[in-house]
Amino acid sequence: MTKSGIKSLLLAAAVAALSGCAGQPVNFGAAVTPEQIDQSKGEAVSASATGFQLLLFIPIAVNGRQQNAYEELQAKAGDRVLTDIKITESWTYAFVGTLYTTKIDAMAYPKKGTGAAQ
Amino acid sequence: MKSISITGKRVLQGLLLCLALQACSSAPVMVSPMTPQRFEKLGYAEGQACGALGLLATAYYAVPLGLNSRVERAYDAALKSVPGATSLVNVSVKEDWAWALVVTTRCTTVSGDAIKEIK
Repeated sequence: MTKSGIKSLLLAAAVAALSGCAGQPVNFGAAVTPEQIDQSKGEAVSASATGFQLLLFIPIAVNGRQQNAYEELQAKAGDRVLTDIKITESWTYAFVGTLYTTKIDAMAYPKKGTGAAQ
Repeated sequence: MKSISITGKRVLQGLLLCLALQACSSAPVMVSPMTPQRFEKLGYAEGQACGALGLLATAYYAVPLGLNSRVERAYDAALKSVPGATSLVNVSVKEDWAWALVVTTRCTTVSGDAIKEIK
């Protein structure tokens, strides 16, 4: 009885301790000024990534979804520079959990030679 | 009484399901705009805003509590953290979450270098 109680308590403590997570910081790159890019050749690009939070505290691809979305955006941009970056966060109820989606929109511009940032 | 409470629970679940089927989304928030041609760096800026999704148990997790506006509020907080800042560059965004029994809280942190446009 006592051992079972201790086990339950330890399990609950482990669940509680692990029921929180820090996401990966996503850095959107260095400052981009208009003289560094060819503004006549801009293209809107977009990417999104979804994670699922099962029950109340089991993350499935939730913590890395912003990084995943940005990596997909960078892949779409290729060598071009990304600027005017917008983030849209959404969620959808899924009974046993919640779907979280991060969508990132940006403008991709080709570089125009080299230029100073400021 | 027992049958009424079960029916009542089903009605509540159905209502929540209908409400939640729409899902929820924030408005697009500009976090890394084009840098102005001339600007002055003011220093490091950081802002955080939290929201939560609840209530009670997973089957009822369809009530957003400040969740949809957290990115916008975090960006605004970052700008306000440095007096005179008009924009941010070198922006980073991070999200943390924690389970708090009846809700799950999510906090977004926006950080970067605050700048002031020179016209």
